[in-house]
Amino acid sequence: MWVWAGLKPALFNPPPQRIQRASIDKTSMINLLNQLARMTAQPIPDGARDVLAAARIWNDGYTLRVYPTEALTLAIDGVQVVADAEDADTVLVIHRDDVARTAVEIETRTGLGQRVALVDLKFASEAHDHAEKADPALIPALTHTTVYLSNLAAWDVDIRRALAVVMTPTRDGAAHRQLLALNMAYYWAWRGIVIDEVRRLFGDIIPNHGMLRAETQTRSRIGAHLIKLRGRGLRYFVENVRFEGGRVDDVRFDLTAE
Amino acid sequence: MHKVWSNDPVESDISVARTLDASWYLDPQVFELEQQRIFARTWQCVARLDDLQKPGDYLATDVVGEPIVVVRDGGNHVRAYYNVCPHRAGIVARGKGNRQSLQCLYHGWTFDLDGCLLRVPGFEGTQDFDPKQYGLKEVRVDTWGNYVFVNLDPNAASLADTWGDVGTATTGFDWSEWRLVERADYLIDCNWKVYIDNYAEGYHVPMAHPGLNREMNLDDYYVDTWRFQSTQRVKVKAGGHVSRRRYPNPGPNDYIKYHVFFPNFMIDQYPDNISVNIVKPVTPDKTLLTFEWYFKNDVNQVTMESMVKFADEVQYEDIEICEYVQRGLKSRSYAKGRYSARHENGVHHFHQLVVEYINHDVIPSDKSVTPRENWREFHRQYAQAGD
Repeated sequence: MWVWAGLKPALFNPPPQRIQRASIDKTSMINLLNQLARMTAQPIPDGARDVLAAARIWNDGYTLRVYPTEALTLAIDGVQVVADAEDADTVLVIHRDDVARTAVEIETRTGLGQRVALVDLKFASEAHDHAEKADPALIPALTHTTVYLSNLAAWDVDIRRALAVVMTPTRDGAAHRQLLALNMAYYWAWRGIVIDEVRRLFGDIIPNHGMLRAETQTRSRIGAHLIKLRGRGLRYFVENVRFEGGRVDDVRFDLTAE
Repeated sequence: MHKVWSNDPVESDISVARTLDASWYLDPQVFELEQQRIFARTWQCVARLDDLQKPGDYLATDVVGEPIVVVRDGGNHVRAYYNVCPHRAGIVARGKGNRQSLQCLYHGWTFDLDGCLLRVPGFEGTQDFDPKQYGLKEVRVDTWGNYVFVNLDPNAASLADTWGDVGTATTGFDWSEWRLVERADYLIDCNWKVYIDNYAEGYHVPMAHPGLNREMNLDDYYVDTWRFQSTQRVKVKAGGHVSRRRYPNPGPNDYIKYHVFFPNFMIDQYPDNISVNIVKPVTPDKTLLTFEWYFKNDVNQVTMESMVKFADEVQYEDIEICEYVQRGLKSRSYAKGRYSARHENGVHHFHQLVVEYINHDVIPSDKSVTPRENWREFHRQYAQAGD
């Protein structure tokens, strides 16, 4: 089913003149470009060098009107910052520190029918627009509210990545939900929590004799965290955990829908 | 491999009994039956008392898919209700927090903490409507130690009669002396009964748990069973390589005990710590385990961390076994096994209860605190047989 990503066909927006590179987390196992292509049920456009460029093309060059909850200094083609949430296609909630405050903000805005993208920048330095991991306490706080996680337009630890998701028209809702769950599994459960548990046991490199234990531990612990999302519209299990070259930093896993 | 459920009885005499058929662990029909026949009729742990300290504290949860809300009311009593608005079945609480009333998220019907309907917006013109008839439906709730339990069966025996009294007598500890220091959840790829089968016997310890085996004198191991509980008791081993031991100098009365409270609440009891294990079936082949570790105040941080690490190691050894077993149960080569009469009466006891709950509408209670088996007599016969 075709679902507009909350975008208005703004006739007055010119097509993009230049393409900016999105910040891409080099350690991420998530190939966001492929995920977005699945979500929008379109091939990756020729010449799209990054996710924002691809999203812009998929979105036919329309401008995304964003209301950020803090001043946004990034200039991104195809994204227009607006001063009123009611004029926005998407409200970009940026989480910094106070999980209770962020949870209430998300709950309030979704209650008002606003389309919300959440970017968790608790572990980003002031100057950065992205972090390498999420706040372990944020998703549990959200699950204690009325927020349905699968209704979020995006969830990420990177503003540009989140905007690319929001900008990409969703034609396959299951692919969108899987992307939300994958981001949470990776940036919240794995990088935010479980990676330290595995590293405490093995250091940065897992020896061969410890590989089964590391894979089992990663699957069972991430899986247990994902169970918390089950009642919030994201029902997925982790499978096929492996570590490239035995490096804890280089995990790969699959998510399967229940 | 698909296996069709075979609802065979488990012989009451362990020496001739065969285990549950493999289909009990695989068939989605059994899983659904267990939800309704076992989990909807037994005491299920839904919260810790820490979650409900103040009047107005509430927590929404679910038991066998039934939405439940647990609250501490204005009179400081813990209460539980179906989290279902009697108007048009919306929910009255989500997540957890503190509120002075519960309000339906659908049309705003508001209930006080003792479940009575307080406010009904926009109901003018509706006839024969008595708000007193439209309170929240209460669920049986009770507490034991630091935990809150609910039971969806209005006819089930009380928590104390089910396993509270025996549990208190056999554990012999005062919950107030223990404090929670760590919690971990694990999702494992096996049926919930595979995990409990494994937990209920120490027969596998020498092969599967080398670290734990160093601590246990399995010559002094036995399992007592009561109506709804089994307890493994094993003496802490004296001697051995002191440097590799957790309990190098055990006292004469130092035991390790593992208690199974049917169907899915367990307590590990070591000389210096206890851990609570709660098992929740997720799907026929996925199970969520929650471990909570308690220590006394005088235990130092280093000891606590090393014990949690030790227990975690044992846990992963068990996870590996249970996942192998789940795969083995699917094999075309396997249908049923046998019990060790010497070591696996806890498993036999658990299987008999599973079959009883599935097949019987009435589950008689038995409040006796005397174990059902006489292990002294068993050992005497066992010794004679060996002569």
